[in-house]
Amino acid sequence: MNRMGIAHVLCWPRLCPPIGCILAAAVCLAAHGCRKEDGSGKAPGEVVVYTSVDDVFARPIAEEFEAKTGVRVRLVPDTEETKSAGLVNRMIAEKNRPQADVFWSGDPIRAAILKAKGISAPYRSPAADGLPTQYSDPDGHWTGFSARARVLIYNKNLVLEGQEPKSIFDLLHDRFRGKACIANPLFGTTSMHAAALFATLSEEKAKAFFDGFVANGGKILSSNGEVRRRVANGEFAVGITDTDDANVARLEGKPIGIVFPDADGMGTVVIPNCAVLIANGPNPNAGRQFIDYLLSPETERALAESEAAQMPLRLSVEVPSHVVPISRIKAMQVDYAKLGNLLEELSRGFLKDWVDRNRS
Amino acid sequence: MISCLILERPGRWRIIGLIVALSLCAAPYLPLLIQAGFEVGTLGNIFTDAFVRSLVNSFTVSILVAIVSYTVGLPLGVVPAVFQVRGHKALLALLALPLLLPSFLVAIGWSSLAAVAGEPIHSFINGRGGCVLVFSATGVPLAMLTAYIACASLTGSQLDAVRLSGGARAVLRYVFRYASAPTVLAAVLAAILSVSDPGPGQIFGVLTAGAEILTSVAALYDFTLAGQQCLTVGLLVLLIAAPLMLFTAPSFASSVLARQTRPVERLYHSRAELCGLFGLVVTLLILLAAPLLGLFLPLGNGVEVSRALEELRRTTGNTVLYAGLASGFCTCLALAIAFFIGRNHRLMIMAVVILSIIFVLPPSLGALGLLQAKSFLPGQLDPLAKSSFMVGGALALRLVPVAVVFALRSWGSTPRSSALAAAIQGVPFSRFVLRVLAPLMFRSVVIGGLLVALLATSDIVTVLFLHPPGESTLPLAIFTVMANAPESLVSTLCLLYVAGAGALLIGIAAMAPRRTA
Amino acid sequence: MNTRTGFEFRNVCKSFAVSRVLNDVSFALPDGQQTALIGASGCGKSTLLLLLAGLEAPDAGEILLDGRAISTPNEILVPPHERGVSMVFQDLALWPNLSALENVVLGLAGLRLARTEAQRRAHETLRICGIESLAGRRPGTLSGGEQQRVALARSLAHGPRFLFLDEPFAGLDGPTKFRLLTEIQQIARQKNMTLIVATHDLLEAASLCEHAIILDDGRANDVARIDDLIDKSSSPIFGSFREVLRSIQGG
Repeated sequence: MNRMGIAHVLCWPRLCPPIGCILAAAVCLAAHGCRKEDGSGKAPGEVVVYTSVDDVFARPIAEEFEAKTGVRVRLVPDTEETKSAGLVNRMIAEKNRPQADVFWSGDPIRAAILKAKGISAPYRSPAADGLPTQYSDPDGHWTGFSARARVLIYNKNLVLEGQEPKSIFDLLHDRFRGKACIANPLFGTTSMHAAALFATLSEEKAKAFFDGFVANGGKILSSNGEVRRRVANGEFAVGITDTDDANVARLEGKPIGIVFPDADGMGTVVIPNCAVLIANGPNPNAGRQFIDYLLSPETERALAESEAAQMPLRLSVEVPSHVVPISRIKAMQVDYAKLGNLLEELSRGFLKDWVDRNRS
Repeated sequence: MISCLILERPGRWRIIGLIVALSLCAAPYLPLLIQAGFEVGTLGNIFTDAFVRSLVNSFTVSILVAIVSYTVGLPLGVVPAVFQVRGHKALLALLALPLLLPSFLVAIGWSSLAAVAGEPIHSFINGRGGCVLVFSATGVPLAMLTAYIACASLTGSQLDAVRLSGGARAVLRYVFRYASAPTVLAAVLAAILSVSDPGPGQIFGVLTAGAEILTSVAALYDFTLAGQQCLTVGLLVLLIAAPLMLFTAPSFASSVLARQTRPVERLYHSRAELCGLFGLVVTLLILLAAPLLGLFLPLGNGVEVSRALEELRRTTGNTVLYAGLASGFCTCLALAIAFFIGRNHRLMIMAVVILSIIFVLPPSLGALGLLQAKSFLPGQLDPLAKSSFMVGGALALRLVPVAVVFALRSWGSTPRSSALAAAIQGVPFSRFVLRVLAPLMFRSVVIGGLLVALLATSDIVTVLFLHPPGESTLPLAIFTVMANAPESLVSTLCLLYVAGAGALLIGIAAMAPRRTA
Repeated sequence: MNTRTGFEFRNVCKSFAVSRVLNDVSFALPDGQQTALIGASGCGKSTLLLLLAGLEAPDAGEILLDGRAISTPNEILVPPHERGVSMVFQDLALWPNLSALENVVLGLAGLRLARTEAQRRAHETLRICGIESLAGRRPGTLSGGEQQRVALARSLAHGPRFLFLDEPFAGLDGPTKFRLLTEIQQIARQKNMTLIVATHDLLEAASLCEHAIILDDGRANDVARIDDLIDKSSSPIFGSFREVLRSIQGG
């Protein structure tokens, strides 16, 4: 018969009380996750915010709102694009009984998808006063504020002075053969950028850009963060990413240069944040309150001063020196409300085909 | 009075109970699979050029992973099981660490290292080679641990007889042959897991089936398409792997249903010890140290202690809670499955095959299925459906296959006559379970439960979809901050996670019974 | 009127997987006597004991106790603990995490005795089996013979009417075996127990029992006196035994 080793030391009957305590503690801990619901759904003084804005930028804003209003914010951020199936899918699956009150989107496309699926509710916030209407949904389902832009980043050690790219079409030139990268255009802000190109250029020109990009040895990476990382470490000379990614690289002291492309041409794609009220959310009043806070000049200033370096859409909001005010950018003229449908078509068609053709 | 004989008697109730339990494990996947099944007429449409290429890539990678896992894992598991190799428990525990790391992290680590290392490593990593390397980091430990555990079911008399006839070499040959079949099964399982994992393919630019499924869900929001793709992948896996699994499952079953025997006394052989140590250390360096080095490179720019501790403070409680709930639910379900299987080889093979198929399906499918089902539940169930219990339950259902192995093993090590003696003496069932069975099975079951807890922490997708708002876990936090946090913060968080998981693994290794010389 | 007729097998068949272990076996075991089940290894002795104990059900045929059916095809009508049966298994089936005393006490759990009474009975039985001094030791720390005695004590503690011994002396040295043999005989006679011993060793069978059943290729003869079997049986088992006896006696 075998000795039981540790069983000699741990006598089973003696273990029962401590194991019982552990089990009881586990049950109590788990019970804290079971919330009582009052008539409005969640416990009073709470708002549930799903956000596709990077957690490091969204959380301080949420905490500031909590401190000011006493309303507890339950923040649900998304993961880096392509690393999971996305928060939007969670909201689609929860459609019949939403858990979220507000969706704080990092771009209008996701907001438009929710509108198309009947998940959002219209809300015209009084705090939207001063925000340009071209960045918002005409039916009031989403309101644009604080924007990023799609920029070119280049490694200063690999790109000579005077040779910096000025337009996204420069990535098709010989001097960047095999040295350019872009994130997967089926996901995130790159998908919005792709849709904007198809909306602004003719279909042939847009396709010519993408085909020319890979013909010139350009690589498709998994995300904007990957683009930033691999341009910063010199694997690639140039890449297309967002201003917040570029700013993080700058703050880390990476040898990165930033260019707002096509200033002399079609312009730079501006990507506003969007505040969306979720239909039939559990805390609609708190949801509206949070949206009001998001759309306020204070939030725009805070996002400009944060590592996200986002551009306030209100011209009256002051920005730090490293943040380019939106008035100094030639923004691409895009009907954001129509991009959602266009992207859906492209995702099932050209873009999917392009990505498939250009991965091994 | 319930007789203890129920533990050993055959009966139709066993297969009924097993089917119910297995159905519970499959339940999260059913909504989307049924949805896909209803549109089986359009199944042919999913075979686009890209999807076919992705299947070829995925199955090529998975076959290579199986080969590498078996070839490397078998000797690494067998040698320390049979010969004295100093420090082997700690090394084995550390080698098991990649099992607990999301494959994305390992891939990013390799990618960062490749950038520093330059050619030719860079070219090798950024393609199928990188995918094989990353998945082998999971496959090799799985195969290795299986071989090690299989050797534990050998008897001292068996090995003594072989040693007398042919010395240490004969012992090695014999043990390799003995442990081969279950190790093949483990290697096949690891390869199967790689088919539905999109991570490394995304990082290294390889079109994989997992990435195609992810695209269907995340970019196209087409759950039906994703379900059909999953069904296709699952059926292909069944077609390719099932014959092999059916062939090896009986050996796996025999080694799992161990008899109480005189344990193997490890032999002393200096060359074997040296080879064993060398193999373990080299594999550790390649599969674990190298990607971790890449992951931790940004720490050279500074360690973000305070921000990392803030994330830790915010997420540790939830991480432990979900892991604990998953472990608890999983252990109970696994014990129930082991109880229904009993000592019936056919039922065990059936369970192993079905659980393997469930294990193959992408976690996002199960999580989305639960999410959809949740939204149709009555409001009165919300406190449960929207609580941590749901997260724990979902994680548990996904990880049941792991716990079942430990439950079967611990049940198999209790002799049949134990329960028969209790039945004949009229010992009440509950008394027998509490006084005899539970203490005997305690260690194995606890180790299995701890392993489930650790595996549950690395499941990001299920937690992302199901966690109550504001109650995230540490690995999920790593994946949310990694988008735009300073690399040093991400690296610091990874370091904390790896250190915690490593310490727990070594603790589990310390709990394993010692075989005294 | 004495209705205690003991166990009876009627046309019992039992298979495991594809192999037929017992094939149309019929006999009536004498009550209050010691009977050996003799046969080569793997002939079905243990299976027969399990059927008698109610731990397995026959595939065909009937098992009766005192004229009442207790097992029918695929059905156990009377559970093991209600048959007045106790058994020492081939591997002893001691519970390794419990001490010798705790093994015996747990074995009494079905009687729902008060704790002190169970302890007293357990001590008494251990004393009868000659191992009261080992009460606090776990089976893994005992010798083979001592483990046998613990298993025996556990079986005897609740005063069974029938005691089944499955290869009880396997692996024991001669003196220990002889000692145990004698003690079991004495205890069985004292307590008027019906003893059924499964063994392949004719010497053990002849030393312990008056009657025997021969199992061969799944079939069994009727119960007969061992002396008669040794003298007259045409079974090869007894043929070889007679040869050995002759060679020993012949010097």
